[in-house]
Amino acid sequence: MNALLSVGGLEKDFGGFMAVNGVDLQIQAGTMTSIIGPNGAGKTTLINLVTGSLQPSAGRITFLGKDITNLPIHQRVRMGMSRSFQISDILANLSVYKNVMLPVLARHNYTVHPLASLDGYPDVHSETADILRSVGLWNIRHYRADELSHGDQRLLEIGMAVAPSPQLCYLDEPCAGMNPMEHKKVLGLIKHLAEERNLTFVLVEHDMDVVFSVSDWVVVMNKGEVLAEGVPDEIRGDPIVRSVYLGEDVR
Amino acid sequence: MLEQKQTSTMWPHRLVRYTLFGIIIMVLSIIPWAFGSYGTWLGSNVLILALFAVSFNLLLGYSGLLSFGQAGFFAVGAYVCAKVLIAVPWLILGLASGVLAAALLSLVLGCLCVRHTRIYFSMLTLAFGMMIHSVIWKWRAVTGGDDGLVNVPRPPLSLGLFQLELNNDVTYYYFLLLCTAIGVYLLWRLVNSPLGLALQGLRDSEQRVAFSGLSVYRYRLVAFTIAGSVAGFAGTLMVMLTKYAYPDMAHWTFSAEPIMATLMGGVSTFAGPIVGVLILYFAKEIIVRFTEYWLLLLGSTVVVLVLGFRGGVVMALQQSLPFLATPAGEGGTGTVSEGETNPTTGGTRPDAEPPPADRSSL
Repeated sequence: MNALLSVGGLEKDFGGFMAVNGVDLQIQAGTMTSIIGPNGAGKTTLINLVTGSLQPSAGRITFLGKDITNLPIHQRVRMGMSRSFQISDILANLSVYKNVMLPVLARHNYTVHPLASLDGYPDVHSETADILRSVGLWNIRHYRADELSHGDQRLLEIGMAVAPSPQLCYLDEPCAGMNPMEHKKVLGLIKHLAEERNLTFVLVEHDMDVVFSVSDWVVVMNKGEVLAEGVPDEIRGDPIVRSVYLGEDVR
Repeated sequence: MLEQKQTSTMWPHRLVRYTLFGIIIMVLSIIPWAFGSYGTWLGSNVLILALFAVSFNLLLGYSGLLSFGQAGFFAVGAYVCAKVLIAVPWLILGLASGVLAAALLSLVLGCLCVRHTRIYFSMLTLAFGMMIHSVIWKWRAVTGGDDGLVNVPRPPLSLGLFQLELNNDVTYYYFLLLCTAIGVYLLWRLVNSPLGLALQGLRDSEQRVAFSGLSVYRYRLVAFTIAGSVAGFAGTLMVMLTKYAYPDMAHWTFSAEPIMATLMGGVSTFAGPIVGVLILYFAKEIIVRFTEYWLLLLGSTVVVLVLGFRGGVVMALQQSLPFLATPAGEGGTGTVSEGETNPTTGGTRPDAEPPPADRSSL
């Protein structure tokens, strides 16, 4: 299998603090990968580097065989990469429907049309409806995004992340602030989306229990470095991981 | 799956809107006839300012950019148009060159300004606006300095064989009404288009727009250039109304007029700036008759309106008259079978009704 994404020697120096310190990583297509680690391990910084929100201090990022280290965010998205955010970043004053419609319009390059009505574009409307139905927000599509409950905003985040039709999609703590029942449903939704859309997810999680059940591959980070990676069972049994990560939190 | 019913459910709202638009145009067209020459002059000013304010709100209300320099583009449109008309009294050429100059300048200055947002953007536009003002003030040989450019002709509108004399103020008023109506209509189409949706996305979260695959910088620049060009267009109309271009046109205090109008009328509504300009002008006209301290009273009026009507007068109107507020251009209402289960949260929800007001309404 060819790696969808590969990262080599990636570093991010925040004025002397190495948030990401020499990370080498490969993401395989079709493999549900989870990046876990305690708070401050550099998980979100790593995603910010890979998606272009931050510029690395050193290292290379290759996506679909192309070096994307210096590409701006929107060009990486155009290549087939997208993400959701740990703290919901939605278009608060627009309806749920328009929140999902915008990335779909953008992917078809329709956003350059200055005078056309949004009522046109049957292809966009059907795609938007599909996504809203998959994430279960179709019935409340006319609500303004900031009127949604926290849980529904998290679902909207996921909907907006899959809307650009990516090949690789990072979900940054998709279950943040949800109860265990909702965790299960969201993880089920993610699994379903991965199969339905032939899409590779990378989950960034703080809570190990959340990811072991759905992941095919687990990457453990600590202090800006990759501590271990492997299938969930290996990771669960790994003594180093247990001491560093689980040690404080054995269940 | 395309919702077939959506067109039929959308129509009544559209009908309401077009009827309203028609009524407003009809009311505006009887002004010269009902209120005489003073009313015509006042109406002409309001029309130009309304177009200026709507273009300003494309930046503030729709793209989240507060510009303090729009008067600069207004003045550039006015001065270039004046220079051209003094040299060659040909209306279309004057209009076109004024708009083109404002467009080019807003494109160039936009490249520098839209790299920043919030207060940094505002301060940059203020600085560039005042630079335009000082150039106009100092470059006496070209701009006439503090004397301005006087005796700007108002040539007839000639389209092939058809020729319309505009020197009569009433005829010019109707010309202004036509230009403003077209301008406002095009801006209305713009904010309800895919491009308009991208701009509203920028207002709410530029990060999210970038992750939709769009260049934040490029889309902001487009908004800034369009707003600057329309401001320049308003400037050309103004210079032909007053037949005089003066440096105060570029002063930041003139940039503040659309800001005040927009805040009073409602930043989150399309019609807000237009209503705001009406309030501003009528308040000015009435207050100035009673006291020389009219600025003080005008300021108090603005404060009362802004504090009393959070979100503006138009928003308050929409809340009391709900038929005015309808979300535009999204999948139809009432097309889902009732109580469709939500696979993720498990529960069933009643179909959303009535839809909460979207910021893009009216």
